[in-house]
Amino acid sequence: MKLKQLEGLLGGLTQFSDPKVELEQYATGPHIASRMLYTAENSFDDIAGKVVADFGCGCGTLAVASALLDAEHVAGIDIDLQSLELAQENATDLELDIDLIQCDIKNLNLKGLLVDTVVMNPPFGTKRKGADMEFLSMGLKVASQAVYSLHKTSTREYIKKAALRNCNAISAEVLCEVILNSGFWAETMSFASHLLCCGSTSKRSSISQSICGALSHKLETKGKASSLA
Amino acid sequence: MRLLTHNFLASNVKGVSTGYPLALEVAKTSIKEVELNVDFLRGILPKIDWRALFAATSAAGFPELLAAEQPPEAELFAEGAAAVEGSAIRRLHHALLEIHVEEGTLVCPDSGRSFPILKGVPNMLLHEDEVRH
Ligand SMILES: C[S@@+](CC[C@H](N)C(=O)[O-])C[C@H]1O[C@@H](n2cnc3c(N)ncnc32)[C@H](O)[C@@H]1O
Repeated sequence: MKLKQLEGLLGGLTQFSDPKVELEQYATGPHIASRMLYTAENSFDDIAGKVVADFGCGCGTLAVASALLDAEHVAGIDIDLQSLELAQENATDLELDIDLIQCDIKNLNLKGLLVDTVVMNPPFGTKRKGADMEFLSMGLKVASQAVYSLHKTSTREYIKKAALRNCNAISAEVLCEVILNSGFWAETMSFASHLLCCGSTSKRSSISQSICGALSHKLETKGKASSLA
Repeated sequence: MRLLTHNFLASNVKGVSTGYPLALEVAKTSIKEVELNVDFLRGILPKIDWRALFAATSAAGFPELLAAEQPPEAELFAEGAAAVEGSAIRRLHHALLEIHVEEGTLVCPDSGRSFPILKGVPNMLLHEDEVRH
């Protein structure tokens, strides 16, 4: 699917009608959402044929984008039932099949290595301090390949350090920067997750090699990603 | 909720050891067909908890869909098997990706706490006194 097509389809989604401010509910815009998922797929092969989880899926923009880019299985997770219903509606309208789970991310318990990629636009923690880090550390715990997450640029260095130091991320790279309507900068960061509980050692090293491959590849394509934005 | 989701979902009630696998009680299922992707199944097989999947398919009303023990990979991924009606790989595909639990309950194996599934969505929210701190 072409980027423009993806952005167009995301632009047609129904957004929160009565957003709950305390949960930081605002839809992820079609511009940034399409670029985030398009980069994850086209530069890093992290979406098509994968199991993708969308943390704090809200009206489902990132989950729907993943399904449109041929993720094999998508699970949207949100604490708020109304959001999940809206996500369901949005997916059904596009004839997509996504699973939805009502759960507080900080209490999430997912077993094994089934989830490959986590995508999210977490609460920035402006209403409840630390919410962004809760999402990020859970994402890195759950994803066996990579986490793609949106953060305020002002928190960039802090988030990078925390991901590497406290959450076992192998790397944390800024993929692109976008100006949001509300005036601050946000960016897509990609974190190659740790592979602690991965099968055999040989498999583990081949996976981390492929991640390093993806990373060096990413550095080359970084210019491209920012120009997309 | 697909049974693939059931295969990675666990309960997190304070005090439980693993909270996995969740016992499944099913009141209503639906079937939605999707295209079979051999590479996906090959990649995911080693990560699947076969026993949990077998128990879930039985609970969902398909006790004969899967073998109780995982069939050998040579059988699952035999040349051309994906095109054969009723082959092990078609059954695995059906179990993981096509059966949806619409109404039912997930029960934590350690605490007995039950989590309702309504309109396909499991509600895993905890009460304040069930949360680990
Ligand atoms: C910025 S919005 C994400 C929007 C989403 N990507 C979309 O396009 O609609 C943050 C979402 O996180 C959810 N949320 C907030 N706190 C949560 C928590 N503790 N656990 C799970 N979801 C939470 C909110 O309900 C909201 O839908």
